[in-house]
Amino acid sequence: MNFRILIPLFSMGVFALTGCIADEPANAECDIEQCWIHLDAPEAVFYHSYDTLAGIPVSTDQPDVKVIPSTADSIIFTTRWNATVEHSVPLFFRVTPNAQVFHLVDGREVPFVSGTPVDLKATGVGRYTPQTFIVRSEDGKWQRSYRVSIQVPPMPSYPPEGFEFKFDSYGLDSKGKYYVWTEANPFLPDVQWANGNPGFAISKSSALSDAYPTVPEAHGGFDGGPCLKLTTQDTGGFGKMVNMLIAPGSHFIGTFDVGPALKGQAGALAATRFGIPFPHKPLVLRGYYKYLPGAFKQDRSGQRIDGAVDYPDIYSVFYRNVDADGNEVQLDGADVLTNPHIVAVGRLRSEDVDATGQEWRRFEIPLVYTGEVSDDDIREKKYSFTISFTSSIDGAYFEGAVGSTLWIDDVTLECAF
Amino acid sequence: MNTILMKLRFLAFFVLLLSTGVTRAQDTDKYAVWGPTDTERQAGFMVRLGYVIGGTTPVPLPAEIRSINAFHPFGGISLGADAYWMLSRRWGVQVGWHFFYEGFHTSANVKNYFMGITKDGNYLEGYFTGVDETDTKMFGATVPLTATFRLSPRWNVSAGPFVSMLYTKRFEGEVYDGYLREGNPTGQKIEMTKDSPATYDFQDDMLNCYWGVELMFDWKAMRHMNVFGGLDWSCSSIFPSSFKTVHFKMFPLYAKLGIAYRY
Repeated sequence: MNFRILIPLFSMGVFALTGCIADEPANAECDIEQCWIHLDAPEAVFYHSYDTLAGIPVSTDQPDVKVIPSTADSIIFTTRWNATVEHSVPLFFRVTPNAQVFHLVDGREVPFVSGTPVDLKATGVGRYTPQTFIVRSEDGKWQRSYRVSIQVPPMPSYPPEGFEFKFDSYGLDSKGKYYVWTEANPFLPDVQWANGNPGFAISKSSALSDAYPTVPEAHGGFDGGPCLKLTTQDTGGFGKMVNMLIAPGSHFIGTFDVGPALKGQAGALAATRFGIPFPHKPLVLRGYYKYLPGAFKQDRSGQRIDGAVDYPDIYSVFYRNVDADGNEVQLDGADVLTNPHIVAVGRLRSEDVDATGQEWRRFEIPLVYTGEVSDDDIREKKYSFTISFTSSIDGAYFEGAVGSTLWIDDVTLECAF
Repeated sequence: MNTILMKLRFLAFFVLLLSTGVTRAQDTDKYAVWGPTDTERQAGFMVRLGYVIGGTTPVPLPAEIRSINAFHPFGGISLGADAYWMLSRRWGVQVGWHFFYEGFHTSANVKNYFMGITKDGNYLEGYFTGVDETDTKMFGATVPLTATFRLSPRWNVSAGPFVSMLYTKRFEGEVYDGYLREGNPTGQKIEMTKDSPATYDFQDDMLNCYWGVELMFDWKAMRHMNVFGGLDWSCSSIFPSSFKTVHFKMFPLYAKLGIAYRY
């Protein structure tokens, strides 16, 4: 009798306390996850109807969904070069559940209802109307601020000497951890260079900025000025934890989405998003490089591959950026050289690589067109273009030699127009 | 802490209720049959062997823990001896030395759970939403000092403080199927999958000892054998307050059930 009472008595101790789940806490996040505008005839203002959706397409399962990266603090809709937006347009947000959005009007926060027309007038290059929105989390403790604008780009023009990339314009990121580059060439206002440094910052937070995979060398360039120095680096303890032992030096036209970067092999490939819409027809990529392979090439698990030597990779890819359904196509690490929308590829041949690392060598890589392209469609920005450099050719699959170093300088892209 | 006190009061009330009810019904002669009385041997010792089940948990569960997907105790064991000394017919004291080996595996869904990971001098911290799995194993010894009260000729209850020392310890786990907001909930989102989970190991951060309150009962099943059960309720965290990575106090809470041989 007593025994029956006492048994539940002591088991009560453990389970009465640990068994109860508290009420769900209010959300602490305050992101704009998706953002779009509505226009009755979007293609009159934009090159693609999908340009009314901001952000990046993230899933091939849902090609019509684009999301705002978690690191974004500005949202820009880029119009045709000769378009204007003269009226307010309905602006839509999808934010973290139960977060509240406020529109900053004359310094006051006005609650914003998604779909309300907003003055985002854009009447020419540099003449636009940015609006600030503040998102407050459900728990009231956190907030983020976003600047939303519609912007008109300059008229595309092709300089007779070709597009020159000097890699001279760089600085540290907002936290001062690693280098970022901006494209200073006035003919290429849309070009953004990206690399894997933001991912490396997570895996090896102790690294100094000069020990990242992608760094500048201030006086090491072909022209005596700055050049790019890409080095395959050991990723340290965290890299080991997520089975990504090395990080190749990389530099490419596109964006690096740090969100999936540590999410296994598929995530790492999805993090590198190649290409920007490009209204020129690329023909030949020229430039200068030096290459010195690391001591030995290792496989994904860190085992030395006997007899294998590391190689760099330099390629450019031109691809159609809209699919048959009108959805955006953007290549990532998984398909940057294999996607069926690719129309031209130029790639450095491994057998041509000079791997002494002593002197600058010139490279000249013509793009080989494998499909028909329409010049009109190119001018309509229906194609995207990327250039990619990496210090380990299989680095995207975490194979390579730690220490492999690729220096790049004075790159020129010759186009037909 | 308030919750613990409330539960303790509740328990004390229960024990009191039982003792009053039971005493009236007992024939005093039976005390002599089942154990030491004023005229008999007043002290002795016993050897205990028990099964241990429980876990190391914040008390109460913080709101960041949304659901428990799995809880598997690592079939624990306790082996030890107690010396007892009856001061009167009903009251006595008891001191013991119990070796234990105990642990558990748990999987929980968490939301905005603050965590940090240190690896080779690299540090990453933030708010994680997703699945958190933890494995704990501890080998050590507990020294309880309890007051014993005889409810009836065959029933003893005892309560008192204990100190536990750990000889080997493990506290490790992984997070996956979710994302970490680096630094704070507005930081960059870092996604995690089951294939490449983020792992942690806080073994070196654990303290080597903790203390708490032991509540026990003994039922004299046979002349020399007791069935016993109880709860070791830790009042101190297994992590020092300077350890910020897990920002809850984590209390070992283990129940045991076993048999004892009385000499």
